[in-house]
Amino acid sequence: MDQSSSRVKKILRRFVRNKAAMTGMVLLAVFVVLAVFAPWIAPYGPNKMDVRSILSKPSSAHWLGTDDFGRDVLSRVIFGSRVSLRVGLSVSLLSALFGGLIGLVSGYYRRLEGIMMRAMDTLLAFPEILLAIAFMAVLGPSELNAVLALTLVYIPRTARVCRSEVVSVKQEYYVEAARAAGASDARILRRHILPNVLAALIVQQTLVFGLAILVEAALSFLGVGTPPPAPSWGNILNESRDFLRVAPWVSLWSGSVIVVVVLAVNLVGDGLRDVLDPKM
Amino acid sequence: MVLVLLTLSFLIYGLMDLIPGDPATVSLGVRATRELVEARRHAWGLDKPFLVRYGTWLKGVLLHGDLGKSFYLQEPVTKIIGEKLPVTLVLATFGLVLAVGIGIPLGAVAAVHRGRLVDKLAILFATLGVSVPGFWMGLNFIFFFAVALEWLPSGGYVPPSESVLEWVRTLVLPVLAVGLINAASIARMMRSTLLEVLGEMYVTVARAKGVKERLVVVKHAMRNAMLPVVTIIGLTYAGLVGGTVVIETVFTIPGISRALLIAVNKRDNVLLTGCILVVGFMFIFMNFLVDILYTVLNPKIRY
Repeated sequence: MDQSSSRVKKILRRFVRNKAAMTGMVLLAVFVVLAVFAPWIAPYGPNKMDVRSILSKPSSAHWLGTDDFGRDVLSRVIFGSRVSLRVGLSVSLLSALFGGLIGLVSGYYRRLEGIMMRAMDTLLAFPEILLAIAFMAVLGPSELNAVLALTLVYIPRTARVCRSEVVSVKQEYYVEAARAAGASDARILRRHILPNVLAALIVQQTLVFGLAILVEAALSFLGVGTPPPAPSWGNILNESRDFLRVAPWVSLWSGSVIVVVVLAVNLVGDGLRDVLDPKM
Repeated sequence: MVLVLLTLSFLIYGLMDLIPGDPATVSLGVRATRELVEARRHAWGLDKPFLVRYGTWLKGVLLHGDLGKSFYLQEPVTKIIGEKLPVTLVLATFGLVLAVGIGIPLGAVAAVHRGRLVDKLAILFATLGVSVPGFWMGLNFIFFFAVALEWLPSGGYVPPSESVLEWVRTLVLPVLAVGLINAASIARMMRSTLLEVLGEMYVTVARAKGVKERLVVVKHAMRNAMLPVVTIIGLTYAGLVGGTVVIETVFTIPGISRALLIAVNKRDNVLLTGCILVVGFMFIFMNFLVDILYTVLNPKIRY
């Protein structure tokens, strides 16, 4: 226990020393706070219309301007962070759970590897956005369905990474020793293989978090994701196309926050990779 | 490959069947009477069991190369794909050329000058590139170049047979958006693999023998560093064929990705299955080409 806690402290110390990763962490924390406390931080409700201020420029009353319904862009962007972070986190966790399970089983049991990885390869044969659109077509547009669709899209990627790590770890002497000592497969997977695969999985899922935010925004932009009037960043961008000429600030601000959040997630992911799994 | 495509076609055809509503209902609208809907369903063969419909479609594909008739557009899917796929391929090809033209030199320079300003800028570009949504970049390009400066059109597509100049002008912004986004991931991979190769013993020996740094990088290191980069380039191109749906939507380009979106929105499972099959085939074919290219780059690799 002492050894593992000192290892964790070492990892944390190295992570904290990485300025880029810490910048990402701080930015991410800001958006998490915005998302959690949105009703108290946002100056207006996300769908509150002010018909006297339609398409108005940034001002003291509306810091980021308003859209074609007179809705405050800043408030919609703040509330939009809830959708994006919720989807990103849910997809990351769910695909880790199911993809990790598939990767563990297919990597450990060679008999099952063939059929499982062929199924994963079939899904990996397609661009993510295309697959997500196809799944959304079946499931219907909603935030929950976007989570389900994106989870299905990213399970193969997670499964592949996990499987590669399992195949590598399975050949280590300590695993062989555990097997020789009579440990069951379940025990070996739980006690010896999973802890050594976690590092790569954490790094991978951090990247999936960022990708899920981008693809959800794209789905909403295309009109097949989170449906309006829910203030998803992709929705806001889609709506801004109609008045890009006269009110470019709507597109500018809603797109910028996507860049900042995904950049923050990628910086954290790179930092985690450097401290947990430098060979990646 | 055939098995993968067949499985996929069955899955897509089957999944689309599960969606509430069907092409007949969507085409006639919510006010259509039950009799009208049933008549259209019968005319389009939608009243037959799923396996019969799928079997008929599959027979047409395997025996005649016929991907069926689109319910919504009422045209052969092969014809629709024949019109739209070249447009997407043009966008994907030019986008990839730009991405490779920027990504490889940038990644190589960053690796050679590790730790210096150019390396830091390259890392920033690569990290930003994977964080920026392509559709947002496209919107910004439209605002600056089409709306503010009025240098280029905001969207649409003019075939080269009508006007080569206008064809080029309509492609500049979407190609720029596609190219810059993908240049980032190529630069990142190039930098990473070249750094690894530059640390190899044979490179150290070449330097110790007095070989000029430029030759060391270009002749000795790049060739080995290119292997994983070639994979990324191949996968990127394959991904672009179906993955440019947002760019095609932003710039209203009539490519295959937009046909896919129409198929999804209109519940046209024949069009959707046909488009996905073609995209899937392109992806698998690109992977095959990448494997062949591997043997050219590294003669030790044999299958």
